[in-house]
Parts: sequence; C-alpha cells; structure tokens
Amino acid sequence: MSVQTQKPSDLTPRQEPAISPLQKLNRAIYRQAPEVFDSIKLLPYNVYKSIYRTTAFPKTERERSEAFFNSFLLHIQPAKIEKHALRFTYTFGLGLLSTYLFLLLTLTGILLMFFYVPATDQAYFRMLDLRSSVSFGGIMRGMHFWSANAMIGAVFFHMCRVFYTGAYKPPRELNWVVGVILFVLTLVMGFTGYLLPWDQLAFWAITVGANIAGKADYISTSLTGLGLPDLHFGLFTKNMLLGGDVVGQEALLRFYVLHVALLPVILFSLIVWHFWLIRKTGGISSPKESPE
Amino acid sequence: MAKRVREEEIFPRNPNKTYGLMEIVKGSSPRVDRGPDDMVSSWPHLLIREAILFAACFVIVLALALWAPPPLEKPADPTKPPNPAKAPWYFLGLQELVSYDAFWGGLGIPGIVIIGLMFIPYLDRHHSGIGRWFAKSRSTACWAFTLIFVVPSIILIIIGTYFRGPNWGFYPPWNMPVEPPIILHSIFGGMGL
Amino acid sequence: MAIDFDKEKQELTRRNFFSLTAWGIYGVGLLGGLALCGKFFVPNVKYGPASKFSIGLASNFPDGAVQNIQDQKVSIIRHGQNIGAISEVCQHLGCTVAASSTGYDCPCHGSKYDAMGNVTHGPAQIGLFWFGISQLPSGELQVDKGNIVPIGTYYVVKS
Repeated sequence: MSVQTQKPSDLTPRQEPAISPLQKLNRAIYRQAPEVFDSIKLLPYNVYKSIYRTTAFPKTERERSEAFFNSFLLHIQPAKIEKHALRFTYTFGLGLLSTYLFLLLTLTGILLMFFYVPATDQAYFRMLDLRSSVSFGGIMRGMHFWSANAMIGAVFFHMCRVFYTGAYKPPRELNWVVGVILFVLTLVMGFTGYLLPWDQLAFWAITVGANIAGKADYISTSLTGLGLPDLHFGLFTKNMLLGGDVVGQEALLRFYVLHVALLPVILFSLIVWHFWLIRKTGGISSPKESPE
Repeated sequence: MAKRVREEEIFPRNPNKTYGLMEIVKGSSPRVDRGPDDMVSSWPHLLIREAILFAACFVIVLALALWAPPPLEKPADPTKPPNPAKAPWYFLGLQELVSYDAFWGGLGIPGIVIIGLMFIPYLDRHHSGIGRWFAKSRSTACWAFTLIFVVPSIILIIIGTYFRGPNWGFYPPWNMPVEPPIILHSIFGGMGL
Repeated sequence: MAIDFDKEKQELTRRNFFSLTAWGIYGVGLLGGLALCGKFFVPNVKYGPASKFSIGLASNFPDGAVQNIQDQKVSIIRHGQNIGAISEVCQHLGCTVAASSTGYDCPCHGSKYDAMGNVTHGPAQIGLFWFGISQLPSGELQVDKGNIVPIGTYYVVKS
C-alpha cells in the first residue's frame, strides 16, 4: 500500500528542494501579485460599477434606459416617457413638488429635532435659542415652516390638477383615494406641527382642535336614539389626543410623537404606495386614453 | 421587376433564416403591433426637468426662510387666549365654519367633503376627457368640483383671514382694528412693504 | 391594464367558505390585538390642576363684585348672601372667555354670554357651567369643578 502512495513522486524524479515557510509565502505572493495589482488599479472603477451598473454618460437609447432601471433611485420612474407627460403646463410639476417639499421637511425636521425638547417649560425657549444661539437654526426653522406652508398649497393644487385633467378615472380610482388621504394627512401634519413651539397660537389651536374632536359626542349621543349605549366617542378621542382633560405636558408629548414619528412614517408609506400605483395604472394620464 | 431584383441585392434573402427585413420605419425602439408613438428617454429629458424643479423649490424655500422668518407668538398662556385667536391660514376656512356650528363645522361638513372626494372616481367613471385640462366633455364635472369644493374652500379661507377681527366679528379689511394674520405679515414685513 | 375578474372563480364554494372563515378569524385576532393596544393610550392618571380648590373665606368676596380666579378659569360672583362659581371655559370649543360689559365674550369664535353665563350669541349652544360650592371645616369655601350645577345655583352664606 505504501508503494502506491509513493507512486506520484516516482513519476517525477526531480526532487523539490526543501523551502522555508517564509519562502513559500513569498512565492505565493509573487504568483498572485499581478492579479492584486490589477484589482488595485481597477478599484475605483469596480467600486463604482458595483454601486451603479451603468455608464455615467449614457449615449445610446439602451444605455439611457439602463441608466433608469439599473438605478435604485431612478427605477421608480419609467425609462421611457411620453412627451405629453413632460409638458410643464400639463402637471405644473405639482406632485413632484409636494414630494420635494416632503423631503425638505424631513431633512430640516430631523435637524430641528436635535435642538427641540417637547416639554411645556422648555419648548418655547428652545424656539428662541434656535434663533439666537444655533448656527443656521433660524434658517432651518424657516425652511421647515415655509416648506410646510408650501406643501399644503402644492398638495391642494395637485389635487385640483388631477381633477381638472380627469386623471382620477378608472383604472386610477384607488390612487385618487390614496391622494385624498395624503391631503388630509398633510393638514394633520401641519396641525400637529404648529403646536410644537408652544406659543399662544399652539396652545389655543390644540385646545380648539381637541374640543372639535370632542364634538364627536354628537354622533354617539344621536346613536342612543337607536337604543345603543352612549359611548362618548368625542370625549374618548379627546382624552386619547390630550392624555388628560386639559392641554398640558401629556398633550404636547403626544402631538410631538405624532408629528415626528408616527405620521411621517404613515405619510412616507402612502407616498410610496401612491408612486407604485402611478406605475401600475399605466403611468401619468395621457389624452391618448380617451380619444375625443 | 427590375426594382424587385435591386431590393434583393440590397437585402439578399437567406434561405436558412426564418425571418427577414420587412421594412425600415422611423423610430428609436423596436415595437410590434403599435403605431408610432412620441416616447422619449427619461434620461435626460425627465431627469433634467426634475433637477431644475428641485433647484427652484430649494432656492425659493431658502429665500423665504432668509427673507421672512417664521412667526413666533408670545409663550402659551392657558388663562388668556389672544384676541382674535386665529389658526394658520390653511385652517381659517375650518375656523370660519366652526364659528357657525362646532360639530357640523368641525367634523360633519369636513367629514362629508373628505368622504365625498374619495368617492368621486367610483361615481364618475365615464372614460372621457382624460389627459386634457377642462375637457369640454367634462365641463359639468369641472364646474361641480370648482363650485362645490375649490371656490368655497378659498372663499372661507379669505373670509377667515381678512374679514374676521376681535371676537371673530365681521370687519371689512380696510376697517380691521387688528394686524393681518401673521403669515402674510411676515412675507410683506420681510420684503419691506 | 384593467383586470377582468373571473366571475366563476369568485364563487363561494365550500372550500372558499372555509378559507375565508379562517382568514377572517386570523384578521379579527390581529385587529383585536391591535385594538387592545389602544388601551395603552387611555390616560389612567390625569395631570393638571385639582378639580376641587379652596377660594378662601366668604368675606373675601364683596357684594356685587366679580372675582376672577385665573389659574382655575373660574369667576366667583356674589349677590347679597349668594355666592356662585361660573366656569370661564367657552362651551363652544374651550377657549377662555373674557369678562365684558355685557357678561362674557369668547375671542376665538365669537360666542357671547350674559353675566349669568346664559348664551346671548352663538355659536355656543349651552350656557357656561356653574360649579357647586361647599364649606370646608376650616370655614373656607371650596369649588368642585366635578360638580356641575344648573345656572343660578348659589351657595348661601350663613351669617
């Protein structure tokens, strides 16, 4: 048996000289080196290629299409688009404008969160500090404020545009419904947002808002006529919103969490759904869909 | 017959192929069973427009932030509301409604409007006038939307903003005893008007 | 783009019925669990000013005067031996009303009340609350905001 195992070495009469492990390593590196050098030379290109699989300067139709569907950010949009959809006077860019304002609001909002404390005895002074002792603090709050106001306008006019161009008609029904919910949520974001400075406007708006919710008692009181027990919808909702009977610390904290966490997540998810529905229902509406 | 021969010279028939060149049409992408369309590549046509819109949006918001800093009222005082106590402009229409009746103004009518808006595409299903502004075939729908939703919303906001003074009393703008709401004040204040 | 549902496949067979029931139970279970989480948000302890508070001795309130207790949003009025406590919270949407020559005016939505708290001008529909007053063993008067009494219910000072 031992003879057989010896056989390969018998076939090769030249005996390998004994080499030290260091020499072995040296040889291994020498053998692999050219490949590694090549890899290092190509490193920037390969890193770029792994992130973005298309040329940065697409020239042919194929490369231009690839630029869109190979990119994570751009693949949301179609690689080819109707000329009609690009006309500024058709959409006035209102939907995209709303999205941009939402992104600006997210960005400036996160920055503002670093300096804000949702406490009744601190919130207002944090607003003053933002203006006086934080670099660009006033500008950040200003951008947040103006983006919020502009977004409400942009969403409203976007809704009008969609109606006046008949873009809600089948098969786009659901997308219109999602859009209406987005409009309402934008208003709710505005409402929860202007409470946070805890100034006079904030306090009395939250008081009035909570009491409007409290008026839902009218529904449950009317339902008692049908033999149902009085559930006090309004009182329940008001207590849930304020965390108590009166506007105070609990209410500020609740509105803060709604404004910076819960509502943005819901809003973002609905925006994603809104976009997905645009693609799935054949892209942006076009006059070709209903010959007149 | 001579013409036919020439064609075959240019595009010689290969008997091994199951396909052949039929005709050459103008266009930039291969399509079957569809007439010519006016599609363009999103790169760069869409991308450049999006980039311009973002730049414009950013610059305008930044300019407003620099020019017209956001308002900040006095610290919250639970004992004493300001007079008049006005919400931001986008809720002044709602505030005007609420000043007539709390339940119907604050919940009833807005709720009906929102539910009504959501039902529009399920009621108005006629496939006409898509993709055109104010299509003639949809003039009824357009008028209804304008007169029931758009105009009332805007009018209510204008009344709430410019025609309501202390104790939510009705005052014409030229006779208003208090300063106009703070959002407009801050724009015009910033512009030095 | 339009999807045409196959009507026959929508038929409620025995198999579909059981499938639907199972998914229904699953869904109700999930939603029920979620709804129970709602209890998390119901305030068990409410922070804020105490609903019962002392306003001092009856002699602090001269006849015919209206005294405003700002922290509690309550007006104390005295007519002869009668002392009443009127809430200053507007019945419309909860703003604080301000005393005026005719009674109380609300700056938020324009409700008006007379000196007794009756509505004289909408949008408020009911008058301002009156609170019950009682005497503590120390002789001080106590207003209980949890005890809402009809308009014109006074505490009569025993002289």
